[in-house]
Amino acid sequence: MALLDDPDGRHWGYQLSKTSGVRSGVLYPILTRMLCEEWLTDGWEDPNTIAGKRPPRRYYELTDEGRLALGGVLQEARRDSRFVGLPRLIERFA
Amino acid sequence: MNVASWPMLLLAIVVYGFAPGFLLRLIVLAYKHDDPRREELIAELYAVPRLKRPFWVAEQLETALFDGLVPRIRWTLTGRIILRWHLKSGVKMNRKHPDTFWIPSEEEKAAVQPGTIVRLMFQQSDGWVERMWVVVEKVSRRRLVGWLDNQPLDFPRLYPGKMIKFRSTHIIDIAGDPVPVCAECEPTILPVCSSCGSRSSAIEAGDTPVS
Repeated sequence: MALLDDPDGRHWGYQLSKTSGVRSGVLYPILTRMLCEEWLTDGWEDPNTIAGKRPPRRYYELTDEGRLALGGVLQEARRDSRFVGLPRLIERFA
Repeated sequence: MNVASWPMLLLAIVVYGFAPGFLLRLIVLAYKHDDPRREELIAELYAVPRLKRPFWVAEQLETALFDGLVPRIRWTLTGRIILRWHLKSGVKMNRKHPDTFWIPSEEEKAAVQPGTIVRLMFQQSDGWVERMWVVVEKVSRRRLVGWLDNQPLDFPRLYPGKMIKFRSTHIIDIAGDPVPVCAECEPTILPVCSSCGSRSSAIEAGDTPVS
């Protein structure tokens, strides 16, 4: 859902962890699986654009397939009784 | 300034400054050397607020142990303990199935020389068997040495060009003409040309040969 907050933008690992509330120890394996499923593509920052002395960060972008798949997951969540109490959250990302 | 605060200041610098980066560089070694997470996590550390870094690094230790170290240990054991392979004796198979399992005669096997291509049966500990061709490199009284001339379907740590030691009892077939020559004469995957004895440049460069 955090990815759908900005479906066309670049997402960074730590930022995703903060937005989604998922611990980084859980998040990175999820991102790896999504990469294998081709829901995400990844890339690295251009070192020439980095201010300060730090290594380039890795970013993730949703693919068309990923947007469709996550959209489908949200549709399912709407119908799932376990998420009845979270209509605002789902509507925000849907 | 209160002298007692100096140790605390030093401790704070170590805990929130030096230690997270140092420990993270050790932790990422659990991942394979070509895993992008090695560089990714080190770069992400700079995005984590300094006060949260020690806890964030501790989370990475947990993931590295299960996502990084366990698969590496499993791979190290694969082919050495798990899915270990051995050569099956063609002579024993022929004795067991004389009508259906043909093997070359003793005279034909005795005539095998460097450059001859022979077929061997490779079996894994789980029972998986593949019959693959090996190009003979050396022949001695007790055993032969050759290079695998096939791409295995499902044998960890077995690849074309790998050195195989075997006995004549392992030979289940002998190919027509002795082959291989070096890249200058004809393309080959062999590390050493049986014609002129020169080493293949691919092997010299450390590449794993691929058929």
